[in-house]
Amino acid sequence: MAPLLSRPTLASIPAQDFPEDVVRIPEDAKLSNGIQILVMPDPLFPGIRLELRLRVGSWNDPTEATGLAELTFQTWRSGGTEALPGSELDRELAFLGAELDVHVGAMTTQIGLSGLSTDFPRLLGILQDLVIRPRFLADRLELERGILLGELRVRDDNPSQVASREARRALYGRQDPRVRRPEFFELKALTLAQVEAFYAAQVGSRQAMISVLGDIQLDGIQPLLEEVFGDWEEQPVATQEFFTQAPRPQAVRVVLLPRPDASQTEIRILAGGVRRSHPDWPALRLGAAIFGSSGFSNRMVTRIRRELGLTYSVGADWIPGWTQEGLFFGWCGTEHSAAPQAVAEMLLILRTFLEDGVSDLELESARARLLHAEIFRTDTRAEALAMVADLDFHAYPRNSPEQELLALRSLTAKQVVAACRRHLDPEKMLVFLVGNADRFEGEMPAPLEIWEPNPKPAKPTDGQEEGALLVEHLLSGHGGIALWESLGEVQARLDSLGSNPAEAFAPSGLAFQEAARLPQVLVKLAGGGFRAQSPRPDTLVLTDSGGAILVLNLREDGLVTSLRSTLAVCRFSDYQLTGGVLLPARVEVTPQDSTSVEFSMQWILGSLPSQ
Amino acid sequence: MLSSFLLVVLQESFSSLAEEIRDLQLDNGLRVIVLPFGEAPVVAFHVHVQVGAIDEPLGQSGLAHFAEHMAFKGSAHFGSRYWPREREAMARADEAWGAYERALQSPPGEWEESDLEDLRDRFLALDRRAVALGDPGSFDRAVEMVGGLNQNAATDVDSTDYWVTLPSNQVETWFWLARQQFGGPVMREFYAERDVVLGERREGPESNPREAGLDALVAAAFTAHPYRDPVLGHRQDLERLDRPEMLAFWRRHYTADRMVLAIVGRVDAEDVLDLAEQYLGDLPKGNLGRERRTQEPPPAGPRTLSLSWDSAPMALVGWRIPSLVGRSGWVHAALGDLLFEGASARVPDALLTRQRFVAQLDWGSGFPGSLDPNLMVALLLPRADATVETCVDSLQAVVNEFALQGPTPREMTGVRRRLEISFLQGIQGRAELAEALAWAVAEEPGGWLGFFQTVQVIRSLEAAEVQEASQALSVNRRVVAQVGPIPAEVKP
Repeated sequence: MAPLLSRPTLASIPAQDFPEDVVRIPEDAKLSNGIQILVMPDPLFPGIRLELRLRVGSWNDPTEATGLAELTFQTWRSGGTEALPGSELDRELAFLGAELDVHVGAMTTQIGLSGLSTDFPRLLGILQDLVIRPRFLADRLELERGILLGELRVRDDNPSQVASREARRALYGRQDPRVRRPEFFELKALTLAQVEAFYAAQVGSRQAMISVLGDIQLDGIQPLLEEVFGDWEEQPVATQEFFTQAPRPQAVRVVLLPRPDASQTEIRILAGGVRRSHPDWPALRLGAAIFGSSGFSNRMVTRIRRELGLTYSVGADWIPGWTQEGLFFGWCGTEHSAAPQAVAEMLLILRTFLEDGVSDLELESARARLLHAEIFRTDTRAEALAMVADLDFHAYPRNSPEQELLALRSLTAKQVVAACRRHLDPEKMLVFLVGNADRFEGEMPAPLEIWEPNPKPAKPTDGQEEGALLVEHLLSGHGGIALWESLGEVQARLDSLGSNPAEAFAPSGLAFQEAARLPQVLVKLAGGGFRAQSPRPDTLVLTDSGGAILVLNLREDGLVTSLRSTLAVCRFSDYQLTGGVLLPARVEVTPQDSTSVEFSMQWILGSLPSQ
Repeated sequence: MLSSFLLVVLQESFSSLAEEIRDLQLDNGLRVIVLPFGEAPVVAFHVHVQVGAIDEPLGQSGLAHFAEHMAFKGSAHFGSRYWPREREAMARADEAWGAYERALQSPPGEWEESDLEDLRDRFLALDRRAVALGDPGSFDRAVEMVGGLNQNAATDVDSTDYWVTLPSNQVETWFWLARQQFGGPVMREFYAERDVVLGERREGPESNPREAGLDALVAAAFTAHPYRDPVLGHRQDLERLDRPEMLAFWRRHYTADRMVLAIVGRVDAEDVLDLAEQYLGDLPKGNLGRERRTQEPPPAGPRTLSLSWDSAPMALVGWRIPSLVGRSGWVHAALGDLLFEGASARVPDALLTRQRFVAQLDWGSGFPGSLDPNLMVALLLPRADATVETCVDSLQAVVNEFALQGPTPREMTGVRRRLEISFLQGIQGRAELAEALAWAVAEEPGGWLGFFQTVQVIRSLEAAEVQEASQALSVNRRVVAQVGPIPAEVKP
């Protein structure tokens, strides 16, 4: 058996390519109202699967009504149609072996419908009734509310899930729409009128997409889809703008959610990430494949699991966003006593990677892993369809996967490490722990801060706890706490504006200085530079170390409407998204002893770092 | 019965796959089944081994699952820096562990604390030396370097399964690696991996109330049959396992006659069979088969237990049902579907929608295994205004009513259709098809030919047999596990 003992030359075999005859591009068209349709024929798929993607999600939840989008769509699904109300719809779908489900994400909601192709015209008719003529029934709202409340009751049962969720909240800030979670009191207070209003305002055909997989051709289903969805109107509200910049911690923070009875400590290490469109993305993927992702042979698994036996699961990876910048995300679970060691090892692996680089052998092994596995991204027609749908929906060029592949093939070790250095700094990360700190053996990289997932202000107070919460809400409203923390450099730029020629901005030097104050206040607030008190839910009183007082009035969504100092009152309007933060484009300044001046703030917006 | 043209076509194209199948039993008993399938140039490999937690000796619970971890640690030919010296170093580490372990188990006072520490330090030093002579991770690296996707394995009470999908130009690589994996793993890094397995236990049933509840339910339901012990093993057993025990377990159970290899994808079947003969033809043939196992006596009446946990209160309800091999599997799939699956099934329709006692409901059968009599389990999460007892009583009432009336003709038509669609959808992928074929060849009386008759079996399901099966879901065959905070009046 001699030949069996010699090993085939592994990486020397070139990556497998797709033969020409394999179908991987869906047919596409547009309905008369602009809805894009993608159709991937798959004669072996039992029936048809349709996905309807809508531009609405939990981000559209109003303040104090978190969970409204979810409750709206579940109530919508549950209500049935005129002909098949409530449970009758479920019974009919079950009889046909069909399924209709809805998934509400932060910015996108996906409705899925599957069934046999012979039943599909009828199923589409049902979906049309649901979408165009929705029925919101009070009884069904209560049913769905009960189910969602049940999910809230169990969401803290599993420490691993708690860690992943709360770590994100600690990074973004509790009120950030990307991580906001509904609370019992909020869900209990939502009304049928809110649900109906939400659907009427937020659900429509604008930039929607329908993708279809199965035993069907484009010319077979396009007329049907046109009939069903062709005159569906756009949602009346304007297109929502999103802030997309990821929070970037400015130092190592170690935050603990105490769970003394947990069987182990859950560790999460977070930092800001990138979009898939970022030129560094292929290099970051390759870097992560070396230090912490994809399979069992990266450095973290080798060292922390295999050599030290500290854990069953460990790793670190980028979670890239399509429109959001996404996250850097590391994870591990280990005995309480070993948690400091595990954190130190994870950070050491990152540090060593960034400082000492990688060997050619390690790079080529990781590259081979990614290139050979590339074929699996679209090895079924369902996956090929999903990929094109994702690219189109987020306005990415269809050839971006090929571009990524080209980059993966040619990157050098130096380029990979340099790219990772641009986005990763082990001295600027959030380490989030769920476990029992009394049993930690060893030091953490920074003093422990205790995390309170759901702070309840004690009453009566001097308004400080309410103030702290309102500050958090305010900063989240303007783009996120961490983002403002990271904008320290803006402070310097704004300070230097003091000597700017005033003619471009305002007739009055004082007015100009006051108008510049809002972003300055936000930077200083994020850095903890004020004592904050809240006498009323819409008012924040800030005192700086010199005793100077500012009074801010806030909208429900946390945006500042006015700022009053001893010198002037500024009123803000026309909020715009810029550089990942929300700031007013217009300000009206009324000095104490003068008439008011109104002018544009574009110059400030322009001075912010671009995304 | 509602007939569908589409399903007829699909069923025909599914049945025509049977004509493509090539199978072979090697002289050592290894069964190989190959199905050229699909457009994309990729291949799924699945190895089903007839060994599971039910084969573990007393005091060695967790060994089968642990063995699955060790299968990825390489062989004498692969993963060693210098095998003769590594072999010797591992033997010395084993000996040192044995001495330390014996001292730990000796009567109190026999050993000074400092002497125990010396023994432990000696073991750790020798183990480190052995580990340093290996090349950690070389097996995983090799598979991943050639594009291996979803390489993993799973152990349950009945069997252990290994799978990976590779680009189709790597078929021979897989055979070479499989020979290292199954031909004789040397169990390197055994003691560090034991900590990893303990970590898996910590992360699973020691952290998650649902997993803990399920383990407790199963332990209460089976008093004699080995199904009672958890697949991950008892912590107290795991902490004492050693490498010689692992080697003995492997040699006893990982024999060619207890393995089935299924390969599905864009391959040439004849080439694959040749490679199987060439690379796996001399795997040791076993001749003992599986050992007899204690059968569980019939349930003597209802059992109830409570498990204290800092979680939302929930109930797990299990009923003893027969083995799910053969037609019984589909009869019980229909029963479970009609009772639990989807919003309009009997139980959710009553408890979730109409009475509104529960906020969440989940179910499954084949707990913890399916070869021998096992449990059908429902998980109920009561709403804030309902008690666990109310939910369980109400569940039993719905089940009793079903057992009395049986399914309606419309329900039977719907369930046959749903099972057929979900069966056909479930084998869309190569990996799923490979797994199903391997299972059928190893465990189903009809083998792979029977597998291709599945749709006919589903279409022939009768209301009477489903109703008959539902008679097992009675209070007398029931176990209930309540998980959640201990009520104040019970607290010590």
